[in-house]
Amino acid sequence: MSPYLTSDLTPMEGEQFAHQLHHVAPNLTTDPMVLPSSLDPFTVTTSTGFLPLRTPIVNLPPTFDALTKLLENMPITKQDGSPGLLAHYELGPLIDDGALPDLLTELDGLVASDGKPDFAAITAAFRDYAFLASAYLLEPCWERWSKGLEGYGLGRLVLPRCIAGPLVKTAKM
Amino acid sequence: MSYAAAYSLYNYRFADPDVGDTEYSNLRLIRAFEHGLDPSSSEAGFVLTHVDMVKHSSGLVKGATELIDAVAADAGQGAVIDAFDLLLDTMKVVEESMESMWSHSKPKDYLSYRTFIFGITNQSMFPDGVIYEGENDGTHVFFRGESGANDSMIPLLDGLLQIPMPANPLTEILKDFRSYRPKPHRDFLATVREQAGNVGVREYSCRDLQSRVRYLKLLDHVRSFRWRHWLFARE
Repeated sequence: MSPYLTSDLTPMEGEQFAHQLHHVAPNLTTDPMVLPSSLDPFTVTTSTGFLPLRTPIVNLPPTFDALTKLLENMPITKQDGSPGLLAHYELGPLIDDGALPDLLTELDGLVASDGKPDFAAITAAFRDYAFLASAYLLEPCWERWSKGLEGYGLGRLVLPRCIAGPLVKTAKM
Repeated sequence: MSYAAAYSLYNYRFADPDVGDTEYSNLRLIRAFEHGLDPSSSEAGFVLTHVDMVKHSSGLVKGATELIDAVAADAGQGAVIDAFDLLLDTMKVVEESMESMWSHSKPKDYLSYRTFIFGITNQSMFPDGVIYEGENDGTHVFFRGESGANDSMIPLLDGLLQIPMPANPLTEILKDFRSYRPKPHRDFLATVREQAGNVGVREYSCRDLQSRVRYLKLLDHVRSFRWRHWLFARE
């Protein structure tokens, strides 16, 4: 007991209040490396704070290759330094032509070693679809901006099923 | 676009896995819109500086937990001061990292890659939101774009220090931002705010000079962080 500080709480109240925090975040002091990837990667711990439990997954399994390829080819400057799809406003037309199959059912195959949905992989899929959705919707605005035209004009107003379906599903999981 | 689960905190990798996040220069983006796959680009610098700041957030989570535990257990001055000192040391390095933002990323370049992180709520480019094919019975949906203000560190301190928020249009948007955080962050922040109030972190800390000074110093970090972020947004 401190000579200076005293609490108005009864010891039982104090214990109850402190317990709440550990109840809401039961893995607070657990080593993140022993936690399964079926847990939300943004589970809060005292060693990772608000960062994910493990470094983010870079690439999804090969069933998602069509998606991965589009994302690698998408940036205005690709990893190898050459211009990508957005540099010439080619992403939207490519998707409208069916370059991306609907991989909605493939998401069910993202399973962790404990047999539950693999949240680390599902979050990586969400990230990839979120990037693709923003690039698809805003590509016309980027075209106006990069050509020095006034205003952003309109974006694309309909997000196709092959992006919308998996984006919404991964967001809700 | 989500700040944590997509754009920023789930979008980094290490050039050398053995070095990890100990050095800023070892951080790389996984996905980018503009020139972000080049680590020296402004897009990479903008996103990775956020990662570099949040890598210190473990000190805030640990300090906040220890402070609430200490007050709840009436553990006295020593434990409370230790928790405050951890929080203060952490905020010092977080703010130092934040200061490096414009050396990693040129302010004038922001307007360019920002084109891709607009939301579809209250934007002239999407006057009626967007239709997600096959979803939501074909009706329009509205989502916000990404913002570093979706981060959880400062809201954690708001809750821990029991900082009241005025009701105005900006705080309404900040409240709406809560729904864009990962669920574990959201639950943790809500419980810290609730339990800080229940145990009376502010009142307890202010009963003693040593802890009162630290409470005020931490409050000052929240102030200077927000002020700097405001200046960034104006730049």
